[in-house]
Amino acid sequence: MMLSLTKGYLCPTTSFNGKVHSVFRRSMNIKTDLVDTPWVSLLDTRLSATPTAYQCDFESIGALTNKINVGDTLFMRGGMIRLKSTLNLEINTLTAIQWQQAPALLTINHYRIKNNVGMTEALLGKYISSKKQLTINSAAEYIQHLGLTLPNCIYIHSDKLAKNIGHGKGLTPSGDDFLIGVLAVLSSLKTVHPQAETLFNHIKTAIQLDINKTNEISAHYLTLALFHHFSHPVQWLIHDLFTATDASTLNHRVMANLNIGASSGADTLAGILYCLNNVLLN
Amino acid sequence: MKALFTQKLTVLNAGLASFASNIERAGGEAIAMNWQPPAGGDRQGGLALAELLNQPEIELANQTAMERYLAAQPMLVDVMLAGEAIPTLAEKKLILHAGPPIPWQEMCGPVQGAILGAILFEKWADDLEQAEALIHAGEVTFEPCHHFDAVGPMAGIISRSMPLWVVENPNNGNERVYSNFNEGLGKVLRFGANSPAVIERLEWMGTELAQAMKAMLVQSGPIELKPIMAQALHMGDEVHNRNAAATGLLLKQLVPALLNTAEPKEQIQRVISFITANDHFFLNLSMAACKCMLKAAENIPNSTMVTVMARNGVNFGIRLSGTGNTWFQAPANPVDGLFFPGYGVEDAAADLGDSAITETAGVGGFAMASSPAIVKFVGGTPIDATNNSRAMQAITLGGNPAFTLPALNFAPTAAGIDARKVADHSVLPIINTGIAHKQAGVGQIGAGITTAPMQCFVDALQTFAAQREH
Amino acid sequence: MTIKYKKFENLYQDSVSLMQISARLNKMSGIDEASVAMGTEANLARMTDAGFGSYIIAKPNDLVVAVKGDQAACQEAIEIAFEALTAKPDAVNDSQQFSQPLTSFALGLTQHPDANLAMISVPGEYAAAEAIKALNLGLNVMMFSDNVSVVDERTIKQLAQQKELMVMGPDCGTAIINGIPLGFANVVRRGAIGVVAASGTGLQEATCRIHQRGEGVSQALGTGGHDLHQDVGGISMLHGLQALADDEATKVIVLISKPPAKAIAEQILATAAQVNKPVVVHFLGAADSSMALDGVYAAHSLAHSAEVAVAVLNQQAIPAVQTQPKDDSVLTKLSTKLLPSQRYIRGVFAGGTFCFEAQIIASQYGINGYSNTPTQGNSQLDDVWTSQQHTIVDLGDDAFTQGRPHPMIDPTLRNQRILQDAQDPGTAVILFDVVLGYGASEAPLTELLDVIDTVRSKTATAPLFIAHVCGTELDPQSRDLTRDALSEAGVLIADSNADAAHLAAKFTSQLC
Repeated sequence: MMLSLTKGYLCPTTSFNGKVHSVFRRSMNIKTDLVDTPWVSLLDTRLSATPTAYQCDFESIGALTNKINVGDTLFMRGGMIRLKSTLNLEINTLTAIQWQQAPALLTINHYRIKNNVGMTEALLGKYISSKKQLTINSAAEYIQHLGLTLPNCIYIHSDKLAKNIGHGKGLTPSGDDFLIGVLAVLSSLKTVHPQAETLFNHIKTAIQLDINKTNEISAHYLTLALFHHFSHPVQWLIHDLFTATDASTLNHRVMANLNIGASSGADTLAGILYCLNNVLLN
Repeated sequence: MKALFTQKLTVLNAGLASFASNIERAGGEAIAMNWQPPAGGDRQGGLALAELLNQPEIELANQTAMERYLAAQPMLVDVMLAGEAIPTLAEKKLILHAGPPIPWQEMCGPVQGAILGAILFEKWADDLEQAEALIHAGEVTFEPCHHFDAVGPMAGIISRSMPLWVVENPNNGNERVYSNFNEGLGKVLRFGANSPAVIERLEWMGTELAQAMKAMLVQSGPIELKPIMAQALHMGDEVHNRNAAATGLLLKQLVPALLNTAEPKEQIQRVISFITANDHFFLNLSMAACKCMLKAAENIPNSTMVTVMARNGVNFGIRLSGTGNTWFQAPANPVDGLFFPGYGVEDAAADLGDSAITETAGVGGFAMASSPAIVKFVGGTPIDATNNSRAMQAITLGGNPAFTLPALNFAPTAAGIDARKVADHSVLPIINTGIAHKQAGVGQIGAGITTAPMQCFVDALQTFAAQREH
Repeated sequence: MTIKYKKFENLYQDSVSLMQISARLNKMSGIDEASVAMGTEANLARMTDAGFGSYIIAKPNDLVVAVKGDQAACQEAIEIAFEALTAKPDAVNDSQQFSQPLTSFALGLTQHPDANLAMISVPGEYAAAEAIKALNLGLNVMMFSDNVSVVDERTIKQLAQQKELMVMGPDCGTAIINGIPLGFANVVRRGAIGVVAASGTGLQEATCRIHQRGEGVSQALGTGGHDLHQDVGGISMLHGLQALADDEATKVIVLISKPPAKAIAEQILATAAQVNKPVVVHFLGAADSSMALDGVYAAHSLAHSAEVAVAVLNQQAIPAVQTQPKDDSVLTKLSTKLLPSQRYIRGVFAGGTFCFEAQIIASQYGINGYSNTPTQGNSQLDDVWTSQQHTIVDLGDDAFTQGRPHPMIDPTLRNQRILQDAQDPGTAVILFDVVLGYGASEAPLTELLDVIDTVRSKTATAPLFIAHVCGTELDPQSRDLTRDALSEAGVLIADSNADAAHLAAKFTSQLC
């Protein structure tokens, strides 16, 4: 039996039947028969926590792809997830503790956010430049490199952002990750910025119309974002962008985000920076 | 509950089998279980058990206990006299014995005989009558070996002048555990023999043999015991009742080191011939290694993992990690075995010795698949041996990847007995054991297979459950 | 005479298997009495009472075979018992392939991780622990087992609430989940009516009637007879009601129970009124006025609750309350054949709720008498084994089932009682039920038809036989075939238990 040690705050506690939708070396996505939580993930503890993921030490048992196939059935009973194909894989989720969500913003210090955004743009540029061997100096240059569509003014044509759904490759296309970054910023600004909620809802309406232009998994994460649910690293990065007063805290948080997926972290970060620049700083 | 209405119904049926067959006839899916009353039919025990099932704090504690057990690295580091290693033995006339605590009057013949022998060996008395008088006068006290982190096979007698193997666990703060030396077969103290020849042999072991082994260890450096056990499991031993391969493997490390010592050649010759004449020489080291691994798992609050199983010739006793030093005892189950010619079941003492520590650690009866020779004792087949090892998977927390079983496609041995699973699944831990004659000093009269009695586990769970409520 | 016993250690087998073996040994010539049972205190005490002596020592997990009779027969009986006990019908005789016997729910789940319901019919003393384990493992529970204390029942049901799981029982004999009949249940078509019943035969009667009226059942949940007890608080019924309210397939809900504690009844009715689906409530013998709530329909008999539900579902007029037999033309012809001494009604029931309902209806005709489970206005029988004046007995009651299969499974006792009452010169009418479905006797009529035949051949003034067959044409025994066979034997067949009771009561009331 493996023990899950952390779980997201949206993870189901009731029994469900599920099927493995996709499996990677240290993680898998599961389609469940629950209406409220149609997707859950099983992730290695080293991967970034999402609201619908249980995390376990998968590293210790070797590659999951050797043990589990897409389409394998699994069942949660009494908090225990059991796979039918490999009788040995039992995951106890009762032992998992919910990870802490970032607290709501109370005030905005424009000087601090400007300073932190500047530092973060530099880190993004450095990371992309070293990884892709091209010179990128700002989030805007990176967004251009990705070929994403941007409105002339976010306050007027925010719905145009939804055109990016499904743009790019991978399990979560760059356009989708970018949008999650934008939504995450607007979501956290709703308590402190007069127009954040309106903007969020405009984009939400536009995304809901085009949600079927991307794949199932990415649509799941986008849908969570539309209901204000974001992964642990994204929530805390935004929190730190507004509150961090020392470079090392922010540096640590940014690098944790940049290291997510092949480019997912960088794409989301680009969305975060774009939104902060255009909503708050310009 | 809503979920049930949208899922396919699959029924686990406990009780009347006709309910399951009716569901199947009606086109549903039902599994007719072979339900058994849990906890040996003890209603209160069964209720206590029910509350303990699938409880996160227990699963977490058991995982910790299991991790510590698996991480243990038993190293043979030294040989010491018992009085030095366990200072209490030097302070008063104390003799250690196998199994849970038991007063003198209730001890079985072999343990009483061995204790009298130890008194003579320590020269606390000149003859057996004097020795017995000393006991009746209350001048000699007795305690289980386990109370001092020591183990001994059969009677398991340890007194201050006996040599002990010292085994350390570098992964657990170099905690030390001990075992006595194996005397060989025939008329020996551990079966209750106390004749002058027995005492003489003990004296030689406490001096010449102990010195040689101590000097040998200086030359060899610490000897890792787990790899020897692991290899022996691939060579037909289960390192409880069969230690022929393990003893040979130990000799391969021991002889070169011994030859490098400055001990006189004749002494080395006597030592080597003593060891080579005894296929069970490694047994006491196997037991110390197992005790070392399990000591690491002791005293973890909320853990239901069994850390000790031991017998004193009358009662079988266990300890759980989460209930500390409390013993839970029940009369030992009879041994199903073969007897040497001339002996029968009426001559047998009840199950005896600390050697069930091997099963507690996942070897011995749990690794029977690696030692088909052992099943012959009960007229079984190699298939029975592998099935026994498989059955143990139903009552353990996991497997020990350090010990693998070729007959089971190199599956890890089942290890880390969960008292809850024993009581819930009605599967008893299997123990390979020697059979002692009930009279002191006759020696081993057979060998066979027995099980741990259910009641120990049920009592332990009830105490564990009561403890949790506070 | 010799008394012999043999103990088989740690060999648990279920009570029905053991009773079958007991029955087989009891039929052997040379055997006076045989008992095969687990060595529980209660069983050992029963053996002592039965004259097997008090020296039998056994643990609850030991199986004890005790026989009385001549020596050779005793020896033979023990050997036969041993063979029967060790024969494993389902043994996979492949010693190469090891499979761990599934002795517990935890082991069951490791091999069948999709399991979602635990069916528990183990002896009562172990049932509570098994239910708690099943819930802790995340399984919904149906407990057929009885003799579970109210305190334990409450603990179990609260645990289920906390885990968002369902518990049916203890003492729940029947349910239909996702179209699958569980326990004693009938084969009915699936449909839009959901049922929650604290009465096993009540649930069977209602679901069968729904089927006969052309509609179907979404889910039928049993709660066990003690659920609406003050100390349990109707947890299962309220939970079931809510689950059916949330279930998309369910359009109309039916609740059935014997009269619950007042506070519980009020709570259930209040909850029913809040549910945004029509709820038909039948509390046997309760006054209508208490149910005058929006969206709640009061029904007056088990069958009536089904009829009301079907009418509500199809937006038809609510069927009227039945105060008379549906068709009593047959009665006048028959009554002339009786002697003046034949004045009494004798109800012989296998279904407890049928017995209850029959007493209530008889009372409406001024017929009050005796029962082992008397309703208001009736009295306790002096001796449950002998009828006196008007008597309506429930042969499924504990008094009759100690150490014996339930009369629905084995109708022997019921048939004996019918014979006994039919030969009583005071009996005017024999009223009885035949319950079909899975779990019930596969050949419920075999002996019964002989009994009726015997009575009729012996006397020209045999009492009138009135019966109700609870079942559907899809049941393994077939309601149609069963009714035909009874009709042919001269038994008057009613459409429902209530109608059968009306016929019998009306007939009896006209005799005086």
